[in-house]
Amino acid sequence: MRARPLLLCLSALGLLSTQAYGAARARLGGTLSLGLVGLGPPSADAAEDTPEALSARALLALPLCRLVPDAVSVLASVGREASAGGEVLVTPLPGARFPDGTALSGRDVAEAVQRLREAHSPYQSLLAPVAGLQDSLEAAARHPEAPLRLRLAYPWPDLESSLCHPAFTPTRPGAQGTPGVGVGLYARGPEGRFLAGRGAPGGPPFPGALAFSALPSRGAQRLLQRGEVHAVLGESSGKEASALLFATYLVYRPGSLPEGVLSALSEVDLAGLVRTFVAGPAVAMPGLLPPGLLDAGPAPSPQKSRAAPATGHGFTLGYESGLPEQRAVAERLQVVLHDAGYRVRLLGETRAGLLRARLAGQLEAALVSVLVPPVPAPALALVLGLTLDTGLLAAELPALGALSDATARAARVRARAAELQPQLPLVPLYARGLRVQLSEALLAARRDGFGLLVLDDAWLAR
Amino acid sequence: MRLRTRLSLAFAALAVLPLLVSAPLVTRRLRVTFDRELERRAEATSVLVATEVQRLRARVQEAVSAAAQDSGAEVLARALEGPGALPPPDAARSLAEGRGLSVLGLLDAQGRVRSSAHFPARAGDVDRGLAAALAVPPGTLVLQEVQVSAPEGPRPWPALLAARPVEGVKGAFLVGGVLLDGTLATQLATLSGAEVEIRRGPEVLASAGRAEGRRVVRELPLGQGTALAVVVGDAASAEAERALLAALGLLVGAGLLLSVALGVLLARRTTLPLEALTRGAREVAGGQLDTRVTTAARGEVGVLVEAFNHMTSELGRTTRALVKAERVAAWEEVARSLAHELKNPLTPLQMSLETLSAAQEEKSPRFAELFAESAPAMREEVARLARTVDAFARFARLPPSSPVQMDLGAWAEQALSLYGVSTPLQRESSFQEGLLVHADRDNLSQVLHNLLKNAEEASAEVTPWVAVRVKAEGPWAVLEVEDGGKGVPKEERETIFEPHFSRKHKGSGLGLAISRRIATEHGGTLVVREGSRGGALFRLVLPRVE
Repeated sequence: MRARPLLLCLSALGLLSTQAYGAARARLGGTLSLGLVGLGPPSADAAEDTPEALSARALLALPLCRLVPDAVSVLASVGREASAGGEVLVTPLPGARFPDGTALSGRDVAEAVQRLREAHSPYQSLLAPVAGLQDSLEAAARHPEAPLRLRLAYPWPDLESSLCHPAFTPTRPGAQGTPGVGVGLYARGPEGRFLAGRGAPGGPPFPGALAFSALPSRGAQRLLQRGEVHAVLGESSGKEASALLFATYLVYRPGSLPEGVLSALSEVDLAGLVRTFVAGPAVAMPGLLPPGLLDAGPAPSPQKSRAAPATGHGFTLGYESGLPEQRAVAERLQVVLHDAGYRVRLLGETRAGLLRARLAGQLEAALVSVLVPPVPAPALALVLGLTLDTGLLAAELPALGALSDATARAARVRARAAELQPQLPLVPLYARGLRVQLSEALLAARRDGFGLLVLDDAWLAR
Repeated sequence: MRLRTRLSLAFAALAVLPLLVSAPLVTRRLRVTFDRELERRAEATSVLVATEVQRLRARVQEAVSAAAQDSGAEVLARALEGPGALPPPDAARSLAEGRGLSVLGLLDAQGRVRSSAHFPARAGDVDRGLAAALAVPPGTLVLQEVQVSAPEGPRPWPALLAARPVEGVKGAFLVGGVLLDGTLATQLATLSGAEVEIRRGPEVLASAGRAEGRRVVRELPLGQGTALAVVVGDAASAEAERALLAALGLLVGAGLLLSVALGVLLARRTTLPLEALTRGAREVAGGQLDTRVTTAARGEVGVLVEAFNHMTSELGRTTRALVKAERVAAWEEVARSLAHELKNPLTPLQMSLETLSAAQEEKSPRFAELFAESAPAMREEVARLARTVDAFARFARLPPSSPVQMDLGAWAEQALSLYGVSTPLQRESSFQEGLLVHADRDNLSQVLHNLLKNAEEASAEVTPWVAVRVKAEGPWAVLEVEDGGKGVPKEERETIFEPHFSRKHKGSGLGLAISRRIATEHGGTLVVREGSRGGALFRLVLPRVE
């Protein structure tokens, strides 16, 4: 049995059982204390898309839907009318309200998409099958109460699940430097606490309040044991099962890397690199997609370099300055390539800065980390989009979407991933999951399809 | 050049020259002193830095020992060996923090870096520099090049290293130390106040501080071709020298200004009496013989002023005496001339009277005949006497002058037309009109009459030709009368203006004297020169009236 279906089934069973249990019990309220290690204060419009940051964010800004494993509406129903043909309707659910009481509208969803497009976010590749997206967004802006209509250029059965990606979480930017807001389970209260609200269509969450605290790595375990915090995000115990979907790639501009660099990179001991430089849970990623989405192939093994090192060749490798693990990996790659005779200059930049440099052709290579959807076809679309080659998406996706059977699509994705990988200007490095430690007293903490923590119905054992 | 200027320049030179001469000597001496001080400071600074390096060595030894005995090192070493999740590659950083170690690695027995505080990306590799520290006996500090992270990639960097086994874990070692980098250079530079360079051969790896001006370098070898260079500069002494030169320059400038001002003041005080004396001398030369210089002067100049005043007063007194004597002499001359002129007619008168008296006593029948013969002669002589007396009277008492403003040219033309001559005479004339003079018409008529009469008489003997001209010469109006006679010899050109000088048998000898006196009383002159045709040219020069 493959790991992914098993995990999804277990998640679904767990979700159903805890929902039934939570519904049967009285709401206890109380404050859930969450420790953050190496993370900034949670924000509804945070740009970080690490599993930990997204998990914290999801408490303040709910996604449109959740994959458990199929798309379950949270803020909006995503569906197709039989008469509409290739059109997907995103309709905000009644009761979805921002903290100021205004209802979530189709325009809010459209603006979330528009912001992704304006930032050249890699996640906009998830909407590559949509035709006339700009017209749809403008129509939603003109008619805020109407559902957002997305017309497909070709059959693409996975658009509904794509829209469950946290990247499409609708938020409203804050005015003049204040934090943005989303339709969340909690809203900012006094003394830095977050109080349960009634903006979510599914009703208020079980915990009455959340208290976030920044913790040092060393003390988190001790506080958990004492029961002073109930969950720690950013620190892994190694015991928590997690979907490893936060994938990191080395993308490069075709023809810009010195000769032999790719060969040298292929000889990097990825498993050793992950074990030493990436805090778990994480695995090396020999294939184009995270291991959970592909067949488990042979584990990559380190190889001795037999090629004579090139001399006098250098290039610049960019990394996201906000991701310490990327920096550690970039420095390690720099060392490895240095020993192989290459001169690698490191450039720490924001994701937007790196993307701008890549689009301008000023950067030879960069590390990119994205949260890959747990659905194969959108996952492949997202990874292909990292190459910035829109023609590649247009060439590959229609054939995938033409397969109406999910199993057949998944098989096709695996095959194309294996075929495309040598041709693509990217090198898969590793995938990791959510770093979290949970108190034994915290019950009913769930994971969604992306491996993100869901605490809607969590409660504390007495 | 004026005396005042010369004195001012002399004062300025006196003020500036000593400074200009002494400034190079002072600055040279100062520079030698500063150079010695710079050498002494370089020596002291290098000793200070060497001492600090020794302390640093001891601190490194202590810090690495303390880190190796830290329970955190044991925990880390065991975690790295254990089956669980690996600690982060920079976990050793917590051991380095607070111990002043910029290099710290946890190594296994093979020299492989398991965790690194300074270069986490090297975890899993062998760093030969760190591994070399394991080869020396514990407690020994070595200088080795270790790998450090740099934007362009790993690069070797010298570091002072010490190694210690991790307490309680076999085969685990801590190798730590300090990089000889900019941080250390900054510390040493801050401590010593000098520029500190870390050199590897000719390459300067890091430097801190700034030594400006002339640099004196002291090198402290650390081994492996690495050295600390302590550089001190003479910026402070150069600044002091510049300040001194600026002060000297200021002194020169101020001295120059002060001396010039003082020179001008003193020169003025010195030259004022001299200038007053000069003015006085000019006034004396101009005829003001009784000029006195009234200026406050003491010393030699005061004596000179006093002598000048004494001289002018003496000169005035002498002049007055001289004038008086001349007046007496003039009267004597007049008396002599008058006696001479009166004596000449008296002799024939006396002889005629004696002849008539003898004839009357003898009752000579020819008495009547003799009387008739003598009477006209005697009347002639008496008339002559009367004329002589009249002439002297005129000379002594010229008619009172009534000057009016008049056009000299127009007046001369009119006067000449009324003038008749007794002999045929060729006459030329030219009159420039518009020359205004302030003069008495009668007196001028007398002058013109005298000059024309003389010219007529002189021309009659040679060439009967007379020319009369009126013309302007600058601020003067000139009336010229030229004749065709033989002219006046040079030696007589002044004496002819004296009374009773006459070259004519019938002249009284007072005409030209009277004419010159009239000219003088009108503020002008009357002179004679040689004419264009060899005759006499008389020039009456009068001041013009604007």
